[in-house]
Amino acid sequence: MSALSAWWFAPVARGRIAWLRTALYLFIPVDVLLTTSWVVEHAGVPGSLYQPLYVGRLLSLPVPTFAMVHGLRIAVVAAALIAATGRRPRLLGAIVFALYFEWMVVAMSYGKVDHDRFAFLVALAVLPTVGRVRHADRETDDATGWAVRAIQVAVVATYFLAALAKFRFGGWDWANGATLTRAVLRRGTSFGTPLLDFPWILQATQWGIIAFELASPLLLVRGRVGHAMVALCIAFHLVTFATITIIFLPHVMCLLAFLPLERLRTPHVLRRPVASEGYGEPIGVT
Amino acid sequence: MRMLSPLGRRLRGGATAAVLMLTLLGTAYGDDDHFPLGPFRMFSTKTSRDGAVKVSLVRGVTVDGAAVRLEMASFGMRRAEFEGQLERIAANPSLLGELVETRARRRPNARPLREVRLISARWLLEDGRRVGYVEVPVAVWTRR
Repeated sequence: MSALSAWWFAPVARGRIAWLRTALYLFIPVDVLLTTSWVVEHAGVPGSLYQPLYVGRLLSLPVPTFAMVHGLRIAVVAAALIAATGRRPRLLGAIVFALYFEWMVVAMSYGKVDHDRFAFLVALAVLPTVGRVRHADRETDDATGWAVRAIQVAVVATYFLAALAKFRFGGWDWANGATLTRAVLRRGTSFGTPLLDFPWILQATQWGIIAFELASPLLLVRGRVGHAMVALCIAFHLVTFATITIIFLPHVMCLLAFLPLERLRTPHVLRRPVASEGYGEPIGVT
Repeated sequence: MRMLSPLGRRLRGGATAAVLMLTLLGTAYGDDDHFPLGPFRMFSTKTSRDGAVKVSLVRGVTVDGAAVRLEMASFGMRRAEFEGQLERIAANPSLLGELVETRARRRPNARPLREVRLISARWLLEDGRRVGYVEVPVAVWTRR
């Protein structure tokens, strides 16, 4: 087995998938109803302002209507809540992924695309590839390992490739510009706005952002280095939120994939037996 | 430890390689249109320290003649979405009229409008500091 394959399929305790399912599926109602509640507002926007994404054109997805957007919202929230129980993880997980993906097409097809969803979509795509699991299950397997690794790599890619995008669109000297001045002028909070009088702080922060994004693969280092990097990521998102009210919440949720969630004590409500027929086998088990 | 079958591994390996490849291609050649595989270009453009920061906003005049600033969310779209379609709306101001109708449906108790202007405001910078502010109209809709 090659080293690359060993790395991608490094066994992880199955309990981590159970925790990720609970956390990420329960996050969907929060996301849809609360933290990005603007998506449903597209229900009332005339179809003439719908600018479908490539994937929407490729799959001939319909122009959102009032009924469709509201129906989709109910469906995605309901499916996520049921999936969060851990029942029928493959079927329900696949349904949640499909519904949430279409929800994202509705969200991003009106002239602005957000970049906080990549890792979350990857997570929704890979969670159904593992069978039924319990939160307290400390046994490891490679199916869990691959799913967790895929989420982790998607998180790292979001940071690392964002640095490359800055080089591509902003040039190698992106960090010498006034991009954060723009961010604060457009979205500054009472914490952020005073920084406009200190352009050098904003410029230094731009260099810090590039360094942080390029250092993001350190998240994949096991142990202290990786955990320190997770803490740095959370600090980065909190400061960003405090200064310009941007927080990559779905992405932040995916940082959970780096933590040994399987070691958490299982709360009583999650301790019920999963099913009488057993825990099911991951796809392809021989 | 349960192990995946060779087929299970190959399927996952293939999916991983495909998504990684498409994401890298998106970063190198794609754009927002290729969501979710396009480049992660949040704040990726460089604002010149001696340039301008653009912020769009909407102003209106009610039927009784009062000048008002209108919340962009009241039209059902975010500010950045207006900005993403600024050129379309400038070329075809009737789109603004359609949004005014949307707003009227969403806020039946708001005072009706007789004029709405989509504006691109600019903060002018010099060495990274604000030195001026101008408002440039992008599109105007007037009730007939």
